[in-house]
Amino acid sequence: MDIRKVKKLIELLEESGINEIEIHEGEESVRISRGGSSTTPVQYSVPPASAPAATPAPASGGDDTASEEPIDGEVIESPMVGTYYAAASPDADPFVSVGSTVEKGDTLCIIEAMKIMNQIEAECSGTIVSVERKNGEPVEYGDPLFVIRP
Amino acid sequence: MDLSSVLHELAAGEWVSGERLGARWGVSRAAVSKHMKRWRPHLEALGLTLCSERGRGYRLSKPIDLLDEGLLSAAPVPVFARVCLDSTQLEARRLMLDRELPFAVVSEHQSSGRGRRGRVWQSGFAEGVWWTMAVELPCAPVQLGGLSLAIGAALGDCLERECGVAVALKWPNDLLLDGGKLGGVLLEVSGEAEGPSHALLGVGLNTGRVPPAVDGQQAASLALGQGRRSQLLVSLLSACWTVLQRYPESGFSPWREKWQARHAWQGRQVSVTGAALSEACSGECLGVDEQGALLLDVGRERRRVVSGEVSLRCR
Repeated sequence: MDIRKVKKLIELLEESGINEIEIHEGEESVRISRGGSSTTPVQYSVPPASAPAATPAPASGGDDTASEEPIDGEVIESPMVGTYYAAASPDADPFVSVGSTVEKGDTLCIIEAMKIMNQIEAECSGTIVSVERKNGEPVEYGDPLFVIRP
Repeated sequence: MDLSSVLHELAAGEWVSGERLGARWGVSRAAVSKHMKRWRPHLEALGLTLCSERGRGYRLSKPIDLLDEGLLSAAPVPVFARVCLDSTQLEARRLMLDRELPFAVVSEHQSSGRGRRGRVWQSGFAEGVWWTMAVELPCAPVQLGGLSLAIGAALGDCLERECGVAVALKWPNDLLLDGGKLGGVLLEVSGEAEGPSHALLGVGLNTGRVPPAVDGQQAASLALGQGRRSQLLVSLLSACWTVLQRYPESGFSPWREKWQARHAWQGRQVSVTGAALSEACSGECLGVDEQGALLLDVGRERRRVVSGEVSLRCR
């Protein structure tokens, strides 16, 4: 699903009085909820052979232009199961945020498992257009972590 | 006079006259006095107290067991020995930019030694051995999952051989002695998806005074005799090096049984908590699998834990 569409949905939710919204689109679905304990406010459910982010999302009633203009970008996926950390230590700035420019090989985040801090590096140079995870969240193998526009 | 030479002259903790120091350094007594004045606050920052007395000279309030660079040259990789650092992990990262791998960095003192997730590692001056080994390994970063456990098991064997102590292990990689925390392992890994991997293996072990408890966790120390740190460090570096050379091909399997034999909480009821767990899970600790993940029997099923904090369950 197009990241911009998800962003739009979050904005819609924020403007409305609704607490939770779930959208199904073909095989993909996304559920966004708000509330106090929001450990995972955005939940993705992507089929195993998911389309890359660069594939245009199916036209959906022409509600806005954003959804018809997909983001060009490379999705950085988690190579492992573990805990996602956005920064080197709890009081440090995150390695990257939306808008950051990165060089190939720059550290994007750390995934910890068995006390091994695995630095995930940018596979290409570009601009971070989306950060898919929050600090301290669990990640599974293949979960999207970032979208980089080369 | 650099800090290192001041420390070497005064390491014994006995009085050394200004004249003798002057003769050693080829300067006047007045110059010695000036130097000492300059170094006093630095020594204090390292937790060392410089005593001075008219007619007797200078001494440190207690003897310190400095690492011997000559002995360290017997290590399997080149060793950079420092007096004080922010942390050996950070220094190793800086050195990696223009030094050939592998190498090791050791320091008598760390001002911000790192435990997991930015927790400060207590490192009193020369009261422990803390080092980082920087290596390149011919495998993908994600294949190194059980490496920190393998290192823990190998360190346990080495300490038993060298010091005659029975070290227990807490998942994933704390070293315990008589229930107190003796040391820990921190592994930072980077590299391209298909490899090779660059690994910074950080280890800290208390060898001197027992540090204060942190967050209710008692500490422990090997309480080594004077003059034994360097030789022990060489043995520990060798033990790590052996694991690092073998691991890319063998994975964790060869160390799994050794690890479980030292597992402090094998068969005990434990709880695992952590930001990455949707809910705390508790159960009987079954041991670790071939990747080093912790296995829990939570009643109806087995849970496999790769990230989290394990604690003994209170009854």
